[in-house]
Order: sequence, then structure tokens, then C-alpha cells
Amino acid sequence: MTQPILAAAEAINLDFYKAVTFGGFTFHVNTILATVVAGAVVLGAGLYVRRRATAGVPGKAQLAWEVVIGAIERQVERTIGPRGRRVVPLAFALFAFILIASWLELIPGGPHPKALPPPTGDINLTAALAVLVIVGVHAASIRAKGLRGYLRHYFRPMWWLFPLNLLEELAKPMSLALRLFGNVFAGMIMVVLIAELFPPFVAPLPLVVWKLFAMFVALLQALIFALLTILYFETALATDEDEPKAQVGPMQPGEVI
Amino acid sequence: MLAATNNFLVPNATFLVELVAFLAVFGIVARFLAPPLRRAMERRQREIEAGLARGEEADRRLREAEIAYQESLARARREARVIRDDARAVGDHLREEGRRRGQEEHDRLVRRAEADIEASLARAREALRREAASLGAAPPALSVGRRPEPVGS
Repeated sequence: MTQPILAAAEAINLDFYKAVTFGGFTFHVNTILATVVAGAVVLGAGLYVRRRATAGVPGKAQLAWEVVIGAIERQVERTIGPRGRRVVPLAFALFAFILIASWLELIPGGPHPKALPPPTGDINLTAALAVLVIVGVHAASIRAKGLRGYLRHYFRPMWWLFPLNLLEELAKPMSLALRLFGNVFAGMIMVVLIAELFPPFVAPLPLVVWKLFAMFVALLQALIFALLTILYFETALATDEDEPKAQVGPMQPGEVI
Repeated sequence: MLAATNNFLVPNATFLVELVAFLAVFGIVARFLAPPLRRAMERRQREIEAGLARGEEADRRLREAEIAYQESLARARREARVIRDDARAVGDHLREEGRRRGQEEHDRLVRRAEADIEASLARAREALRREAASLGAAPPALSVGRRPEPVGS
């Protein structure tokens, strides 16, 4: 009973990356190419909008960019305040880049490794984005609080929480990278499974349905990545005045945390 | 077995290339793409706010003009009422004055007429008396000079 399934599983190709070794280093050339394509699409769209940018009635492309930038600015204003203006371009670049990169999944290609796989399905890109964000967060925290204040926050609110605080700081980049990678990678696997396990005359329909769902998941993940970036910067830029004072005594009726 | 591949959870040299690639994208977005768009958004926001402020100013002026118009109308009505009352008073006074003068003139004419009649009667009596004296007869009974009947009786 399980033999046909195992036999089918043996034929499934999950080799998504075209690896090339150069100078002792391994490069996933199709991921790199897809990253360049995604970057070119984002920058091309941005340059198109920039050339036609007007303070009058905006065109559709400008309107789409303004909607995203405006939403990010309002979120930053709400969480961080005016000092968080520098986070807006980073959050916007992350959102746009991750979205376009993930939507490269829609481009049909032959068997894996495809020429243009979604680069967000490669841990190298998601880890690079996560490291960039976390390094930026820590740098911003040191600049805002000073080195002493930055180190002190690892021992707040109680000194013996230091291991947990340290673990939290290590978990942030890992969760950022793996969340995005896992969602896109799982989508890539599902596409392969649907294509391989369904008969050819049936497979297109579930493939279309799955790819539409994958588009929605990509949008969500881009949103989550950008939002978490903003929240991490908010925590990093919070000073002692912003932190809530420790509450003493039991909660009063109607009191909200 | 599944197709063998490297451990896909371990980054390799691609990590550095991806990092540089995204830094380039971020740098261009932050330096050249986001600022012009933000300036356009801010300029539009300022124009919208200026337009709204102008609209509110126009509404305020309209309300003030409406109030000034109502006050002017009320003031004009009050003045018109005063002028009308003054005119009525003057008219009444003139009417009364005219009536009084007419009455005085009437009385004066009546008195004058009576005086004339009395003088005529006296002259007539004197003439008769002289005539009677010249004739040597007793003066007749003075039946002349009946006071005229008042006019309109």
C-alpha cells in the first residue's frame, strides 16, 4: 500500500537551488539571479513613480506606493514617534522587496532548479534580511540609549532575567529569517507535490488555487516582516522615560495592562 | 531517496551576495525614491490643508457678512421706523397747525364781516337820521339792521 507512495516520493525533486562552487565558496546562482530580478522590478517601479510623481492627482502607480508608504509612516508614527522617520524607508524597502521576490513564484518554470525561484525560499536571503534588520536595531539602540543603557536593558526588569533576554535577542533574527523562509519554502514544496502527485489533466486547477493562496501568504509575510521591523526598532529606541514603571500592588478593578 | 542537496538551512556564500544586493536596493529606495514621493505627499497635504483653511475662512466671512447684513437691516428698519414716526408727528402737527390757522382766519373773517355789517348798519342809520332830520320828521322805527342770520343756519 505504501510502496506506490514511496516510489512517487522518490521521484519528487526538491532541489530548488542551482549551486555553483567558486573559489571554495558555494553560490546559489538562480537565487542570486532572482534577487537581482526582484530588485530590478522594485527599483524600476520606483523610478517610474518618481519620474511621474506629482502633488496633484496621483496616478495609479504613485497611489499604490503612497498607500503603502503612508500606512508605514502612520504605523511608525503611532509606535515610535517622530524619531522613527528613518525606519520608514527600511520597512518600505523590505515590504516591497519581499513581496516582489515571493511573487516570482508565479512565474512558471520547468523542473527544479528553476531559473527564477522565489529567492525568499532560500535561507540565504531571509537570513541576510534578518541580520540586516537586527544589526540595525542594535545599532539604533546603542545610539539612542548609549552603550551602558543598551547593556543595562538586558538586565531589566530583573537582573536574573538576563539569560532570557539574551535568548530573546538571539531568537529574533532566527524567527524573522525562518518564518519567511518556511512559508515560501513550504509553498514551493506544495507546488512540486501538486504537480507530481496529481494527474497532468487535473493538476492545473489545484496549482492555480495554491498559487493564489501563496500570493496571499507572500503578502502577509511581507507585511509581518515590515511590521516586526518597526516593532523591533520601537523597542530599541524606547528610552527609560518610555518604559512603563513597575506596578506595585494588585490590579484595581477596571485597570487595563 | 529524495534528490540529495546541501543542507538548505545552512547559509553559504550566497548570504553575502544577498546582503549586498538588498543593501543596494535599500540605499536607492531611501536616497532617491522615497524622498521625492514623501515631498509630493507632504506638498499635497499642505495644499489640501490650505484649501480647507481657505474654505473655513470663506465660511467664517460668509457668517460674518450674514450677521453684518442682518444688523444693517435691523438698523435700517429702526431708522425707518423713527423717520416714519417723526414724519407722522410732523404731519399731525402741520395738520393741527393748519386747522388752527384756518379756524383763526375763519373767526377773523367772521368778526370782520360782523364789524363791516355793524358799520354799514351804523352808516345806514346815520343816513336815515340825517335824511329824517332834513325832512323834519321823527325818525322811523329802526327796523333796519337786523343782525344777519349766521351763515348756514
